[in-house]
Amino acid sequence: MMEIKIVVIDDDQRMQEDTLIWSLKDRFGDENISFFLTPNEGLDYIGNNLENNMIVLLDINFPQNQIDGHEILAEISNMSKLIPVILWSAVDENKESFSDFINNQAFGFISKTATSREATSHIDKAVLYLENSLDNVLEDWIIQNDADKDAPIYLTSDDKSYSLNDILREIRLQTAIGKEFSKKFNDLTIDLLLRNKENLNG
Amino acid sequence: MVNSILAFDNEDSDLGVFFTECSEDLVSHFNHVNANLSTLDSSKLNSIIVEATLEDLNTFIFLVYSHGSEIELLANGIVPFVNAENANNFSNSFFYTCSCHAGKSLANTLIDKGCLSFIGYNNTFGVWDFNRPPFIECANFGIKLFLKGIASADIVLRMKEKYSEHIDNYNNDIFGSVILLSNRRALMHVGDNITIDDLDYQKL
Repeated sequence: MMEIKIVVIDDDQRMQEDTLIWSLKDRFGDENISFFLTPNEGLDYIGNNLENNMIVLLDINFPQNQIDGHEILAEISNMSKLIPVILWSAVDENKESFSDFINNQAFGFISKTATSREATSHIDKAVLYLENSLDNVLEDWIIQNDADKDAPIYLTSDDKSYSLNDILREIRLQTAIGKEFSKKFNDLTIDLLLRNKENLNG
Repeated sequence: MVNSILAFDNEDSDLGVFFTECSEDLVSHFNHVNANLSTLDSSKLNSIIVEATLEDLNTFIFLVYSHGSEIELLANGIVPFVNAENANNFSNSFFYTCSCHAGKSLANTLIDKGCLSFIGYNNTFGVWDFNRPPFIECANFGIKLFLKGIASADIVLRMKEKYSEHIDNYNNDIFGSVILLSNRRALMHVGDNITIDDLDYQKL
């Protein structure tokens, strides 16, 4: 199984003892669960770990002197669109505004009163999303490839060159080049579909 | 017989091998079809030598395999040898290049100065170095069609078909297919829809 880091941002210290957190520790390993009581600490951690696979559990309400879940999600979304962020909150779903959560592509919502099975279902979907994301598919392809992963392999006539590891890093960090690569892969998928080519000939 | 000049940057640090392999394929092809081809390698890629090479030519084919930008073509990524300042040297020519981005602006500059027809790329032209032959074949396919008498607008369509053929048969190397598709999308033509006979006619 691929290594996934779970990042929890919640100002309620008691949630560190929640059954969901314990089950996540069992599943992903203690060392891969990071709990942050303040948004800034959580955001710093995410910003420094963009090359890793992460799932974020995010509370919505924070003390008034701190940014809330809406702003935190927007900041995470600005850093990378590849991180599934699951809202984990006790807010009344009928009273909370979810429009900007949708705009910033929140991955799901787990109520703090949800059963373990309901919560696990959301985590499973996020894991599946990561396993099938472009960067992980590419990583698998790169790992399986026997070539020197640091040798220049993609060369352009505007004087740039990239190794396999460079390409993976650019995609994971969601740089302009990384986004361009992601777009090229999507372009290929669409092109093959439009030309009724379901897969490449081997 | 139409004069053809092949400018290729064999000493480029990244793509020198690719440009050399393209040039070798073209030299062989020109010999095979008994067409006249002169070459300018990296040591001759500057605007002075280019101008001297072209000054006595009335109509000609100009082929470039080098780095490029929207406004100029460059030797070793830094020395411009085709840009707005010498664009008038390419009047009555068929201009064919795989340089990056040249189709965005330089192509129109050349056409405005009398170049008859331009085939090139309006975005990045990339090479996936694991498997260069499909990239060489696609890069050279258009000029070979032109020598056969195919018109320039048709050439672009047939080049795109050649790209698609290789995209679909790239030995399950998805990266190679991705780069070929990107090249296919950037391929463009501007100027008159001419054949090699039009160059001969111009000469007369």
